[in-house]
Amino acid sequence: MGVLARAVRALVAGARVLSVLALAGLVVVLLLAIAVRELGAFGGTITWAEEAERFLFIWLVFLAGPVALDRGEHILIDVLVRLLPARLALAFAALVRLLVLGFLGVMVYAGVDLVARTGNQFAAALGIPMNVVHAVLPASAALMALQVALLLVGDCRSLARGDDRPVLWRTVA
Amino acid sequence: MVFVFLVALFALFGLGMPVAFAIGLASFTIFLLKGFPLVAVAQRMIGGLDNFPILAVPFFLLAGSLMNTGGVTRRLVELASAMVGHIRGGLAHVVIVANMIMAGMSGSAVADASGTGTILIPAMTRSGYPRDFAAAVVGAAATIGPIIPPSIPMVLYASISEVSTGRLFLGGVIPGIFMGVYLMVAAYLISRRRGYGAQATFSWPRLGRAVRDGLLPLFTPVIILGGILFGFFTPTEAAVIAVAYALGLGLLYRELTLRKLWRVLVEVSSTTAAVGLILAASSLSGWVAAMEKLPQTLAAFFLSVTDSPIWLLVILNLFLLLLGCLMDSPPIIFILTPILAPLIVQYGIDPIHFGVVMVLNLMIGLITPPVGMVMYVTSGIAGIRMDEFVREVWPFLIALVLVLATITFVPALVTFLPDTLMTTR
Repeated sequence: MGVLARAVRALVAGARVLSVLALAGLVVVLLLAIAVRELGAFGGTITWAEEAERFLFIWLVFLAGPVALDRGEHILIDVLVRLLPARLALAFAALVRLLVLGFLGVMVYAGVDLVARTGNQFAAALGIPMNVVHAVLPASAALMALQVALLLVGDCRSLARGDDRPVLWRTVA
Repeated sequence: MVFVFLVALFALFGLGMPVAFAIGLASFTIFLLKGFPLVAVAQRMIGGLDNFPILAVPFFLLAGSLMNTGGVTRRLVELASAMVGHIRGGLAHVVIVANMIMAGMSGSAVADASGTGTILIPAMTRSGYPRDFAAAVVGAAATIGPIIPPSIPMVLYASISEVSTGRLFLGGVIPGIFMGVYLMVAAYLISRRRGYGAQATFSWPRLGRAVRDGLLPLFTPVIILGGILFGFFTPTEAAVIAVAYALGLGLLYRELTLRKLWRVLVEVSSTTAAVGLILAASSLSGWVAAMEKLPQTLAAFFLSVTDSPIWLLVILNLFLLLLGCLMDSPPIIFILTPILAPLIVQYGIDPIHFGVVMVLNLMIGLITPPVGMVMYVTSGIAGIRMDEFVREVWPFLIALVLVLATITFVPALVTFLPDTLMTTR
């Protein structure tokens, strides 16, 4: 396994831990908010709860995006591709991955731009800069781009070697 | 421009690109052609996720998954078995009733199919039922999950069309019961023709034991529906309480270990991301559709064809059934709801009625080839091929389509409960 592949694997493992924390955070914060309301403590509301929930959800989705890619869980329609001969399917897969890389590139570019613009906006209740929330988008897209690039390399190798393997959308077999 | 967008979208779908990226890329081409600033891509994608009701999705996924790993599902299967195991074709009825009970706690057909399937498909094959029949029954019954509340697809529809999730949930109760009854009739007819026997004789002591064991889990639907109905919680809050409750039960039954919990959390976050990224990308396509006045164009087209709401519903049903065969349900909901919601209101159709009709269409799509997530899950558990599944599932498909026709033509079956029980809109 190459250096890049190992680095990507480590980054995905990190994203996995963080996404689980975000999910657990979603559960804990909302339960806390309900408990506080029902018990009437702190004047009956945690003002930052709703904002925290919305931000945690955004983080969860983007942090777990690479994890879903790793596990092959992204929804796709492969009925047509399955009908193709293996080599042709691999060639199409390479093309599709190139296009996906292009879109992920757009996401990284647009995301970095957004982060650069929103450093001086602050969340109403939590007071954190909005670009802390937004930064997860380009980070996630960049990691997914690396994963897709590795898949693309794998396709090209298979095509060059001429082994007929089915198209995969997951990084660990 | 719309044409370019649709051609690009379907070409990318057909090429097997993950749906989230296909929607994003097709929308991005329009952004380019129109000369919109690129930063809007990131802004819109994050904006699409900044939606409080949608939070119920990971919670309901988590609750369902915790019930499967924490021993709750197994207890409910035993309860169903004690209730209906004695009817001819016993285990088939057990499958259907178990899924109806599960439906009141979990909002995901895939979770129900894997939860009840891993227990009941082996049990059915051991009792002499053919594997493909077992897979078909479990698949068909699992589609009840998101019709009887809670329901993940209904949360998705409600958060986009801005109808009340609680009302939509209530709208699914009667149709869900119809589904169970129609499926049981189908299972009975098949069992009689093939001579499948009953499981065991009915026994009160066994039912008593099963009810006692299943009592705590049975409070879940009470908490969820009661809480929403009496205004204690929002559906999102009810979902997180269901999570806490399922977690508690798993610990109480000593079936939930830290290792299992970790696996559940990873699985749910990854499923949430798969759905969430499609939602994020759909806010790009939604913007393109709005800019191009797609809803208005579509409305003008339909109004030129028919002005009868019934015919519109018939056309939309056929369209959704076809689309449901080809695609998974979240992208269909995300792409079509913003386009169809204004259309049906123009025809005077209740958005709650249409929401339930649409979700039922898409749930039928989960067990139809070539793309059907539930079909994949149950065929996988049974170890059968897709064509074997299809050969056995068609009588159940007919039953479900009959339910669809019934609720399409009799809107009151959907709207009666929400209109009577929830006065606020």
